[in-house]
Amino acid sequence: MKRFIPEPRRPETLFDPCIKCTICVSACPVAQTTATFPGPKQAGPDAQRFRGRGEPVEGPWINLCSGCYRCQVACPADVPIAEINLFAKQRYAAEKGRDVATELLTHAHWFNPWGQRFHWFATPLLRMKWARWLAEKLFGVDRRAPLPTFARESFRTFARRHESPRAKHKVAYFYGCFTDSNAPEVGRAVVKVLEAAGVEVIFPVQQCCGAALIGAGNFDRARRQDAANLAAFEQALDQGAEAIVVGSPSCALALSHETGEVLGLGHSAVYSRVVDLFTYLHRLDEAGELNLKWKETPLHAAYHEACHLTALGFGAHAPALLRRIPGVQVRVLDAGCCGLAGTYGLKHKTADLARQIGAGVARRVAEWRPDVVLSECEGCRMQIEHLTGVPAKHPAEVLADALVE
Amino acid sequence: MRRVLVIGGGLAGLTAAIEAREAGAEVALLQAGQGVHHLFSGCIDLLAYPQPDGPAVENPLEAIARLAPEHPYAKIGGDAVVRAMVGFQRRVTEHGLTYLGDGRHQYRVLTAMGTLRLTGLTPLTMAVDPAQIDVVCSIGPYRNFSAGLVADGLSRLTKKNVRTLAFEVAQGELDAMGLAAKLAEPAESARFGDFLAREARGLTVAIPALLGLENAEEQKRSIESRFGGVLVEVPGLPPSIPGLRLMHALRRIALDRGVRIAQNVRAVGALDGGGVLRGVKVRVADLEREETADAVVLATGHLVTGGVVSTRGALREPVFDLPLSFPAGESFFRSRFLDRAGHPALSCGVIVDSSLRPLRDQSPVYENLFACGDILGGFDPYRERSGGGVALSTATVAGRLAAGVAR
Amino acid sequence: MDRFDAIVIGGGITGCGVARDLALRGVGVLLLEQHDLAHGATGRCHGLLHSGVRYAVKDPIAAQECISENRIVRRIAPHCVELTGGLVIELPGDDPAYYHQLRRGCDEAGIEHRALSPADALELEPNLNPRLTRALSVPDASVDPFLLSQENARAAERHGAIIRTHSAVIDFIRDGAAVTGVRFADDEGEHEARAPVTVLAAGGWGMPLAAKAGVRVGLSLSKGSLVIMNRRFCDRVINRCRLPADADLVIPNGPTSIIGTTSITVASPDGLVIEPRELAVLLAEGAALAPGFATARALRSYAGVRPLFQESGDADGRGITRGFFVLNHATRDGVPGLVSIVGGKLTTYRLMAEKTADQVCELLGRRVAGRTSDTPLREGEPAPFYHRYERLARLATTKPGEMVCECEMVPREAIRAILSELHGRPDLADVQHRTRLGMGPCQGGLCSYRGLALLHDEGLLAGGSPAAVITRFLDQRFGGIAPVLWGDQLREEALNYAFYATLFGLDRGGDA
Repeated sequence: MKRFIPEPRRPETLFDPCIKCTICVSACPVAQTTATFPGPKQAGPDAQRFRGRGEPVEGPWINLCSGCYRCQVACPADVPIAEINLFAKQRYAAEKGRDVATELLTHAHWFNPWGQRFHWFATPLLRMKWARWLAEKLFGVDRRAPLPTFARESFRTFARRHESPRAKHKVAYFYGCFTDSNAPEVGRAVVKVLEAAGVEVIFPVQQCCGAALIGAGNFDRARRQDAANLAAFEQALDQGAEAIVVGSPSCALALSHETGEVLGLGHSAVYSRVVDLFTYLHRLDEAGELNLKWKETPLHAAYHEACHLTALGFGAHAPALLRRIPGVQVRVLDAGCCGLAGTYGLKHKTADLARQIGAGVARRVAEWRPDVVLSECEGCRMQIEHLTGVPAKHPAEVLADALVE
Repeated sequence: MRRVLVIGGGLAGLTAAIEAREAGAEVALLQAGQGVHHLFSGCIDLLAYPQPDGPAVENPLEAIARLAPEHPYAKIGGDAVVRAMVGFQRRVTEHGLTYLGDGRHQYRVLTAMGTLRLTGLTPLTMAVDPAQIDVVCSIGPYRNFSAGLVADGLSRLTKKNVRTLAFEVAQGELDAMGLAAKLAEPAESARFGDFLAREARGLTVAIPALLGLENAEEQKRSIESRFGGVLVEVPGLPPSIPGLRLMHALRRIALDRGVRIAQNVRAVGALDGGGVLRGVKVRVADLEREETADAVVLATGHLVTGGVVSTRGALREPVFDLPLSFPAGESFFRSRFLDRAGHPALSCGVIVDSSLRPLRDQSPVYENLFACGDILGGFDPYRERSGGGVALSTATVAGRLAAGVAR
Repeated sequence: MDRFDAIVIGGGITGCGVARDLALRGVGVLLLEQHDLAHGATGRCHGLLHSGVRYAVKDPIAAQECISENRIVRRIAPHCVELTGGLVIELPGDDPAYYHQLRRGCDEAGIEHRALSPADALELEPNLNPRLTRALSVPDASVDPFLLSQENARAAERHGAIIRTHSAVIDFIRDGAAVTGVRFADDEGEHEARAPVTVLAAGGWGMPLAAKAGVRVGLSLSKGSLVIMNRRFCDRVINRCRLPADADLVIPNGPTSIIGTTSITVASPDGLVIEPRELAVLLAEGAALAPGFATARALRSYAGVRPLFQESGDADGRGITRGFFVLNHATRDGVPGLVSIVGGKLTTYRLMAEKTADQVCELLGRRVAGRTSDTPLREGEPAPFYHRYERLARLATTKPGEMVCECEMVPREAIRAILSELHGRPDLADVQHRTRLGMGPCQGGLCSYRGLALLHDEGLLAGGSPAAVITRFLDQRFGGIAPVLWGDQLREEALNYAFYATLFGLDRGGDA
């Protein structure tokens, strides 16, 4: 697959436009929670200006960056602060190595299929206090952090036997590891909504998007996984898919931006077709082709826009669509980051911080007392449920339930 | 439904988006960053120094009526300014932010430099005559606030002996956002109130602007009830919590009204429909796509936010390549930095008609493109202290016109 | 404080070096500087510790002096020097014969040099012009002229010298023809100091002073302009392989790169203006050495004067010797008690100081040999925090609230440590010279306020109006930014103007 590299990103030049306006500091959930992290401006553009070739890398604080991208999103000068931090993490890891928790959690896609196959054992195991205590001591996985359950049937298995009816539109669905092993119901809901909207869905054989690996600075491994994905989705486009619909914002961000900009692979025509589910539905709607019928669904929902969805730059199209369902009331939370940030909220070293970061979201949910919190991101859903006790769902699930069949 | 695209999420962009939405349009707001609300004091400056050499004006609305015709205020008229101001005050009050002022007199607000600034609309938390202040209390330690410096400056201005106090916050080594969050915790607020009850009972106490992002006024009242005095927030270097407070309130209003806000996306060009805009080309990092609309509001700000860009010797509007009111060959800045006459580069901008449509050779570039806020030419928001008022009032007009209703 | 063995006028690197040399020999010294240490030519040079390669063809004696002093300065002041090494690169169009002359010159002067293939040079320095045809590796280094001056002054103080900044000499005290002391002024008023020998080490400012003693010192003032870039393009000093000309040097300096210089004869060392065509030459030639220069962000531009000694009237600055001269005005002009040190360059400051001190000691009748060539500036005391990497490492131990200058990573403690050195009128520039506060991309946007607050809280503003102190600093610093005001630096200044004018009201005096 040919990639195009408009301007290769080199960390040593990315900081030039920073005028020290400090907006990133105001947007960083970590910096306002702990003084052990120097903040995105100091850790990012300021530090990068001092990083010399061949010099030892600086302190472990770089791993306190949660990778939420809020700094980069906020920057008025397009300084890719979060990406500068990823480059620094890679350099730090290359010299100092990664801890067990990071290695384990960024390779969850290796273990998940086994967890799913033995779900009858794995799910209860992950709920046992002694097992969690042990996992914290041995692997550094926080014993209080939210962990997913394993599904009886993986989405992959469902997809293999599912035949999507031929339709005017056709998309390739990138469902991601979590949907596959832990939340296949989300995947089924996505498929149901797309099919109801007159879209044929195909399921290319796929690998983990690499978001967690990239987030931990493990670029080499992420590059290897990417090669397989790129080939599979190129083939899907050749078969007539018009878009690559991604249910999870972090997967979408990894595919469409991080592989090109951070892994240095350049952008590809394939990944430029990556779009989140609701943006895709919005486009159908704008073309006058979204004709879905809804049944009355009384629901008081709070919508949480995941940080990585924001970073994708499409904005959240879900609330407007959800509001069309009679009976559904949706209010956008706009209360900041939930704190989970991939593996950040799971590692014992940072789980407490993640919970403190999520306090703002939790406070607003407690204030509004919605029936359900909706978010496209599985990490946000786990964390918000964990912090508030209010059930969290993918907005596609609400759509799927409200469809008149 | 008429689809309006607003480019820019500062005070102007958010205001235009809300106005257009309230006027019945379907609105999407695209922003490259999050709006530089964190740079501003939180005050809405209307107009203080219309002339480079002239004195300060005490009645902004009266001065607005006398401005040259190329000034944005003159283009939309004084009544539009009043309507925008009142609309703004009403809207943010619903979200717990009280802005005082009627445009007919100035407030004097103490700054972290120990100097005074003039402003037309002030947040309740700053609306105290500086001459009343008895004590300056630091919270922190906070590197962007020195109680001694502020008290020194204030004493020079008021010829009154102003005392200093220092309140140490648990985890005081945090920066502004962390300090404000910490101080907003009920226990810490109570501790602060009790501290003031011991050290400054019944007095008027100036503090760095570190009251919380939400419920600042409630927090102020609760602290005041403990020491029986008055708290005054003092704005300083970024990140400005009062500015961010305003951003959160405006975002809340926009989101609740159903405006879609997309961040991290930069408008890079026009979708030209022959005298009419079909929408804009936008970019996220290096990936380009299109956003279509029936009308577009340009509220991209000025140099700091990339609404205007420069190379050696030339300034440019980067989205639509609109003509700017900058004389060729002029230097960007005068030779003295703190020149009271301001700087040429800061006062240049897009030239518009009375409907705020950018002009090229005296005719609108697109009939459905409207500009508002700092990107407008004909005024110097920095020198005049008029950026907030111009943003609010021109955005109100632009938002309504874009939505297809009368101004 | 009024009687000394010797008075040194001028707190540049030469004056500081002379003061230290004399103090080490047990001579009681008073050093007077009208502004701050390194305020003049010293603080406005390119910070190159010459290997001598630049003079190897044209001025073999200067080349030999350079390499010998280069080795000494590395030894005695390792904390002021970054051992970058240097490259001489030949570009298409450069005279190929010069390369061979240069290697011969290096051999003769004893400058180690090693030929590198273009590929090897690019491997070492990937940002260099890929069209380079030949490269030589030489022992150039980067030196911090502010720190080197301060460290000489500090060492002098430890050996009993008195250093007074912001103390301007008004006139000499005469006894007949002889100079027996000076009258000088500081914030508190006028003072007198007496000594049997006065050393004039005031560089370009020396001429009018010498005239007050009735002595004419022929100096040609050659203005050199430079630009500081926001990024460090190269880790080594880059020289162009040709006879020294405009803009053929790029020197890494901390996180920045400096490109220099031009050479234009001027009449006065004050009020230097950087002309647009100088800037154009610097940026264009910089881009020839490292193409990234064309689009990179320039932080500021500055100019200094080389005070070149000239007994006759040669007009071209580059033609005059870079050598130095110690003038004993008793024998030269019949004015006993006055010695001048003129010419020279940063790299050879120590040798200049030694020769001057030799002369002073001879006049004082003291037979003490100089020992600066083998005495480190820091005799056992820990060196101050300085190097680029050490600054970065500070992030781990400095809480966000304690960082005063974020761009250059200057924590509150680093500023507190130098407060006792500030004399007279409080000035943020003095803090800047000692800590690098405000020398980064934002050029003082955030840290001017924090620095001012710190000075105020430490009681160092001494009743002066804070608004006036910061206004003076901001206006002064702008002089160097104005020439490079486009792109990111224009955005930066728009932002800074929003803080200090629009928010704080300093354009209107701050009294609304």
